[in-house]
Formats: sequence, C-alpha cells, structure tokens
Amino acid sequence: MKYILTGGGTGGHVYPALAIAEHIKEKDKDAKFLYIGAYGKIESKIVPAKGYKIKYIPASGLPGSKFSLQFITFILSLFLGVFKSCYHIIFFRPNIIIGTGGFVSASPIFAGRLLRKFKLTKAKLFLHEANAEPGKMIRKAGPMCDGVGLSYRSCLEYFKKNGKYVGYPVRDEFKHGSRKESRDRLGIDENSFVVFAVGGSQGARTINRSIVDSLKFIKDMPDLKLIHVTGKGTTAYNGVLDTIRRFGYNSIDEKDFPFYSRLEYADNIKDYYKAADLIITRGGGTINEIAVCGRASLIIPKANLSGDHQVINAENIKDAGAAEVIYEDIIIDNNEFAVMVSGKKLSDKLRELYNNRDRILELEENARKYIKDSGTDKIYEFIVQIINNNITKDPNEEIIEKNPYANYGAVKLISILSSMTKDEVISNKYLEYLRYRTSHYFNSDSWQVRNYAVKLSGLTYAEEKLPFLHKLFNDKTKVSLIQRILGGEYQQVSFIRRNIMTSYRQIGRFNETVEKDILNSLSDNYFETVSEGLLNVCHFSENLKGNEKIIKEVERLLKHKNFLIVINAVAAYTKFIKNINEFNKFSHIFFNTNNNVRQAVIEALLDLNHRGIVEDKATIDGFLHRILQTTTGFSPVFKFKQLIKDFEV
Amino acid sequence: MFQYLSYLSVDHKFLSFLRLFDSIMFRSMAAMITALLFSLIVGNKIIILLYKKGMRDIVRDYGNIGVSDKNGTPVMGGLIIISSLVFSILLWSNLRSTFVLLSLSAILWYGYIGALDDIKKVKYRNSDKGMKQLTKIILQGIFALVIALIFYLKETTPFPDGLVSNMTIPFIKGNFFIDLGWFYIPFATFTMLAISNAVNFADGLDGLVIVPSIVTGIVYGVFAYIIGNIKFSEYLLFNYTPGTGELTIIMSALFGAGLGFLWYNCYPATVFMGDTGSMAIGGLLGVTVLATKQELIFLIAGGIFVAEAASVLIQEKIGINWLGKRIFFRAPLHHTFQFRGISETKIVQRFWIVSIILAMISLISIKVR
Repeated sequence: MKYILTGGGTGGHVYPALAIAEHIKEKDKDAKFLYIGAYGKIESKIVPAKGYKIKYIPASGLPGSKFSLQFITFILSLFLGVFKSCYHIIFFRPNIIIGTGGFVSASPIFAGRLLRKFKLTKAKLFLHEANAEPGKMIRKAGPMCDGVGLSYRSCLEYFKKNGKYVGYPVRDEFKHGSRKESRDRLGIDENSFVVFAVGGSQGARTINRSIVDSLKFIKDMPDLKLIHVTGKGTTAYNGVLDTIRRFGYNSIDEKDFPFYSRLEYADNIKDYYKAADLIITRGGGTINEIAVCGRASLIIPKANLSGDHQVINAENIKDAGAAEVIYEDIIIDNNEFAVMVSGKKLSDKLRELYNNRDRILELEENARKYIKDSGTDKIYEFIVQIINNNITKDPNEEIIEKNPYANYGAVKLISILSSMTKDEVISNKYLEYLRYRTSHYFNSDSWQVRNYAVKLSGLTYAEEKLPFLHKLFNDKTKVSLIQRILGGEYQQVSFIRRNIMTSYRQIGRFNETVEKDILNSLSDNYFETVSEGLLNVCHFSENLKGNEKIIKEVERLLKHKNFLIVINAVAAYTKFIKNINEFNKFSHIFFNTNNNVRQAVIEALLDLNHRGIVEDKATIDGFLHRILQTTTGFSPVFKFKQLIKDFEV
Repeated sequence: MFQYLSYLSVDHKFLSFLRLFDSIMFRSMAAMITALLFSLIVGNKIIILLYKKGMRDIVRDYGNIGVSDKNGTPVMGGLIIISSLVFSILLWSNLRSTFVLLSLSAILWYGYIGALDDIKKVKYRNSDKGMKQLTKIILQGIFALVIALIFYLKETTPFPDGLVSNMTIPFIKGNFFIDLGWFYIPFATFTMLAISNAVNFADGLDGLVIVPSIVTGIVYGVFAYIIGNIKFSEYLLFNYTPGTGELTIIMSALFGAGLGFLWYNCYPATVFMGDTGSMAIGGLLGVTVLATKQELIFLIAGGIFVAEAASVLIQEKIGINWLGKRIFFRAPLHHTFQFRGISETKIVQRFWIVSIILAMISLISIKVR
C-alpha cells in the first residue's frame, strides 16, 4: 500500500500524522509513505529526521479579512498547492491520502478530490481531527472526504455523515511500562508524591509562572516532588529565562525548595509521565498521551484559541472524569491585568489532590477507561475500512452534550445571560466556563470589549471579579485630546463606569471598596453613572445607614439639573428618612416641570407610608396638596389588546 | 394627462374653457383633491391587504411606555401614499417635464428600497435585521448620483444656462448665490442622500413624519410656484427656471396623499408608513429641493428631520460607538421626550407646531432677501 501523509504548521498536526504512520508501518510491512508539508514549518525539521520522504508545497493560513493582501496570497498558494499536489499524487499513485489538519493539508485533499473526478487516481481521502473543535480547514474539507476520524465525541455533530470517533493517535510506546520501572530509571523515591509540570515542547508561560508562584504555598507538604519542565522556548518566549526571572519577581530562591527540580527539556518524557502521580499540562494532544499512560492530569487549557478548542478538549476529558481542569484567569499581576493562573489557586488544587489519593486513583482509572477502545489501532482499522470501501458505523456511537457557549461571541452571551434568571445562571453547568470567558475580556485595548467583561461579570454574579471592577472604576487614564474636546474623559469610558455600578448591584456583594466606589460614582461627570450609583445606594441602603458622606452626597443630588438623577436621588434619600419632617427636603421639587420627578416624590411618600413613618391622613393630604398634580404623560390602555392578553393558555 | 385637454382650446373657440387645464393653480387643487380621495378610498383596502400578507410591525423595545402596545400594526402603509401620489401625478401633471419624471422615478425607486427593507424586517421578525446600512446607502447613492448628473450635464439639464451649479444663500440681500462648479455633483448627491435618510430617521411615532412632510412640501410648493413663474420670480428676485411649476402640483398631491394617510395613521395608528413611505417622501422632497435650488432652506423648513437625523448620528457614531457615553438622553430626538415621560400624542403635536413655525420662518425668506 502507498500512503500520502499531510498536515503541518504546528507540532499538534505533525505528531499525530507520524504516530499513525508508525503504526501503519508495524501492521503493513511493505507500506510506502510520502509526506506533503510546507517548507520552513516545523514538519520540515521533524519529518526528515524520522526518515520519511517529504515534498513541499506552498501553504498559507486563511486571513480574517477577505479584502486583504494576505487573502490574495492565500488563494494563490492554495492554487499552486493543489497543482503541485496533483503532480505528486499522479506520480506517487497512493491508495489513500491521510490529512491531519493545518492549512497545508487542504491542497492534497482538494487535489485528490479533483483527480478522482477525472478518474486520474483511485486514492481515498481520510482526515483526522485532533481537537474537540474542528479547525477551519477541516470543517471545509471534511465533508468531501471518505472518512473523518475524530479524537473527541463532541466533534461528531460537525461530521454526521462520514465522521467516526477513533481517538487520538498516541505513539505505541506510551502503552507499556509501569510506575516503579520509570521511577527506578529516574531515581525517584517510590513513596513520594510526584507532580510533573510540562507546557509542551515550547513551554507555556502560564504554567511556568504559576508553578513558581505556587511554590511558597506548598512548602509544607512532606514527600512531595515537583518536576518542572520549562521548555526550550521560542524566539518570542524564553522559558528558562522567564522562569528564573519569576523567582526574582517573587523574591524567593530556588535553593530553598529542595522538593523542586527544574529541567529545560525532558528527553524521555514517557518515563516522566509514567513516574508521576499528577501531571500539570496544557489542553492539546498531550492530554491523550497522559490518558494512555493511565495517569491523572491537571489541565490548564490555553485560552483564546480558535473555537476555544483546548478548553473543549479539556472539558471532554473532565466530563469523562479523567482529569481536573483549572481555567486561565485574569489576575492583577504587577498592578496590571495578566492572563494566568494565580499561585494560590494552583497550590490549593494541588493540596486538595495531595490530600485525596483516592481521587487520584479514580482519575487514573477513568483515564484508562476513557482511552480504551481508541487510538492508533482504531485509526488503522478505519483506514483499512476506507480503502476496502466497507465502512462500518459504530452502533453505540452517540453525540455527547457539548459546551453550547464556546462558539458564541460576547454580545450573544450577554443577550443569552440577560434572559436567564439568577438561579438558572448560578446552577448552570458551564458557569465556570462563562466566568472564565468573562475574565479574558478585561485585558482588551478596546473599551467595547472591556465593557463586555464588566457586563458579563454582573450577569454571571462573579464575586471574584470585584477587584477588577474596582480597578477599572478607579483607572483615570485620559483619552486623546480630540475625544476630550468632544466630551470624552477617561479610557474607562462612561459606559464602563455605569455598567460597573450595575454589576455591583447584580453581584450584590457589599464591602469597603464597593462602598468607596459608590461614593465616587455620586460625583461622576456622566449622568447615567450617577443614577446607577444612586440605585446602588437604594440597593445597599441597609449597609450604608451610618455613612454620613453618602447621605450628604445624595442630598446634594436632589438639586441636580438632570431629572433622572433627581428621581433616583429621591428614592435613595427616602431610604434614610426616619422622621416625616425630613420629607420637606423634597419641597423644592413639588412644582418640578417634569411629572416623572413629582411622581417620584409621591412614590417616596408611599414608601414612607408602607414603612410606617407617616400614617395619619392629615399629614399625607397636607403633602399631596402641595404637589402639582397635572400630568404630561399617561399610559394608554388598548382594550382590544388587553382582551387578547386576558386569554389563559 | 388632463393637461393635454388644454391643447384643444387653441383650435376650437367653443372649448376655450379647457384653458383651465393649463393653469397650475387649478391643476394643483385638483391633484390635491384627487390624491386625498384616492388615499381615503384605497387606504382601508391596502391596510387589510397588508394585514393579510403578514406585513406587521415588530417594534424595537426601547423601554418606553406605550411602545410595546403597537406590536402587530400593519407596516408598509407607505403604499397608500405612493399609489395615490403616482395616480394623481399621472392625471394632473405635464408628463413631458423632466422634473415630473424625476420626481416620479424618485418616489418609485426610494419606495422600492424602503419596501425591500420593510419586507426583510418582517421576514426576520426583528426591526434591527433590515437591509444592511451599506447596501441601503449604495442603492440610494446610485439614484442620487444619477439625479446630480442629470441636473449638471449640459445635454440633460432642465435648468437654463448659468444656473446649473448654483446654490442659493437665503436671507442675504439681493439674489445671492454661489457657483459651485463641478463640486455641484457631490453636493447634490449628498443633499439627496441626506434628505431621504433624514425623513427615514424621524419615522417613529404616529403622525410624526407625515405632517412635517406635508408642511415642508407646502413651503417647497410655494417656492416652486414662484420660481416657475416669470413675473413672480422677477419681482421676488428669484432665478426663473421654466417648468418648476409642475412641482407645485406634485407638492399639492403630496399634501392630499399625506392627509389621506394621516386619516389612518393618526394616534392610535391603524397603519405605519414604514420605510416604504418615509423613503419615498424623502426621495421626492430631495428632488424638489434640488430642483428649486433652495438646498439651504431645507435646514429650516425640514428642521424636524434635520434635528432627528443629527441627533441619531451624533448619538450613535460619536457618543455610543466612539466615546462610550450617551450625549443625549436617547436618540432620535422624539425618544428623548418619551424618555422624559411626555406622552406620545403630546410630543407629536408639539413637533407639528414646531414644524409649522419653521415653515413660516422659511417662507419669510421669500421676501426678506
């Protein structure tokens, strides 16, 4: 048999291809391979080193905009790529073309389809998707293939016709070996609790920094051993240097932590996996390797990738009970927003698992169960089925429930959440995911996006976001001169300040910073912020009882020019009235031209009446006679529509 | 069409009374009555038809009192206005006049764009899911550019020599105008676009658009009559442009059709004009403004439309999208008043009053110059 392999761009697309090839080699002794990749990408280093023949075709990623120069180069390279692939396919005469994703794999698949139409080749087409959310290319090319192998069941809904759950191709070597053997080889004590942290070959900043940050919190655990692989890093990020700097930033010395050992790169990674009790990792393909090893993992998925696929990967495994997940979060690091996991959060999770070995065993057991009946064997079986044209469907294959929010943008999330009640949100299975999404909007340069973060904080009732809201509210960085001339003020625009006030009310948690912000909001320049602030005063009136400063501010606002502020100020001030004589504070608005304002005064009197502060008719009548009672507004009643509404259905 | 009857009076002495059909005054009155009667008779049938076809409104929720109660009122009542306007214009105006042809095509073209928008909104059950703004602007812009070119190019222009690219400045002594040269083309395109959209923005409350449109129509009808009359224009120091008298007839027809529509649209409305109506009226007013060369007066005569459009643009583009704050309470302007708690009928009638005041001010410019 002859096989064409294609896929590249990142290691996540190349390694599965190689794992599949290795397995095929084992089963099919006279297999011949040709790898089609892009020049200068990671596959041009790895693939020849493994002894496979590689041919290069041009490839470039799909740009976001359809009206850019990159789009033209994309189209051109796609055409050239298809043309060159046709040439390779005709001369290599493969039985099957195996693609593992990445933009380079689009051209051979299209070429194969094209040639088959003209009966120039008999090659079958097979795509393998390594993630729980298919990439753009696979989504386009998948339907024209003979079969699509999927690593996660949640992906099935995209390829209902030709998709099949086959699992992730993990190299066969991971299947064998025991913990004791590996520990002996690495010289690790048998009884220690080994945590192995690795962020992929290039290293992951979040994992590196969080591990260093967490060290001081886990000092007291006996027989803990923490092995940390920083990764060699890329040109943009140097894992080793960054880790060492992080020690300095925390003003701690590496030598003070004897249980901690730092490596730049782990050659025999399988031994480390096998030796570990818990593995801290990213949410890419490695989580499958760990599962094959039958080890428990603590996944920190990388945020903001296309379709949030690492998060969905992690959730798939978490749902199977085979891993724990910590989401990357926004934290205030060095007085700036940063995306990472705080050392405290990570150490808390570690301690929890350290103290609960049964949970570790359960995770290991579930990991083995999760990976059972999948992997390279299943993929090879599927490939053979495709070549022989007798594809069988798995009878008990079912589409599992999937995170419905991953594909939504912020605006859609806001509209969904605002139509849900508080109980529905709090009891939502994906609440943690929603809060994680919220976190990532805080870090944006555009105020519109930060505004989403503020709104979502309120809508997800996220108490832990209060410090960020507080920080945004007190950030008084000025905007450009032109904007200031037109009426703009700060980078944290008026809408953000207003929505922070709304979110405080939704979250409903009162503390000192909230109190301070409410006081500041009352002297804000933007009318809606002030009026929302006043609503907060109403909402938290019980907590604010003794705060003379705020009561004075509210009293000042009773004389404000803006009717909206006056209305809310009346309501807020009423909450603090203990004696009916204080009602005369409103006397200057008894003849206000806006009837809504006068209505607010009457509502205030009614409130006092309900609270039992004023009860005798004479006093009430006395006040009512002093209030102008004409109206410029009335709500019409449409009898016709009212009747329709009256039907009980 | 009836104008042709007046030709008979030349040859036949005993038919000399048919000269009446050449009189602009007579035809204006007749056009008004025709349009009014036509819209009254046809109105109810169109409303029932729209209702049956499911062309019913879905009002945006602004959080205002009263708005939600209008859900389900038939939309696209602009068809009443368009049909009676076209009927009346075909009967009473001189169909060989360029101005009449341009006005007719403006009504139909802009009405068509508006109708597409309305249908889309109803189809998706969402007032925000109409046509894309860009598509709308392009479709309107094509027509605006064509009008500008027709007015500007020597071969097609209906204006006498030397008047083509003028812009009259009102309230300045003598007959003061500026020659814009080739810049007239972008200027005219912009004016046309701005006016048709401004009328569209103002549409929101029962009767809010139609009465100011009628009033603005009257102002421009008067201007058109003066400019098209050689003696009056000389006396009042206007540039005589033959043929604009026909626009007086069209404006009278607008008056009639508008009143007929108001019959059904007055609070609480039986039918909304929708984009179909507001666009068609906007297009017609745009052509008239350009034909009479009184572009700047529209800032006063159509002050309601200008204020509504300006408030929306400032609020949306500068305030909400860029600075991140509301500059007005709410936009368009009438929502600010609703937000302040003033009832709908009161707002509408106050807008009428303001539009009449503005019309009087703009009519003063006839003599104060």
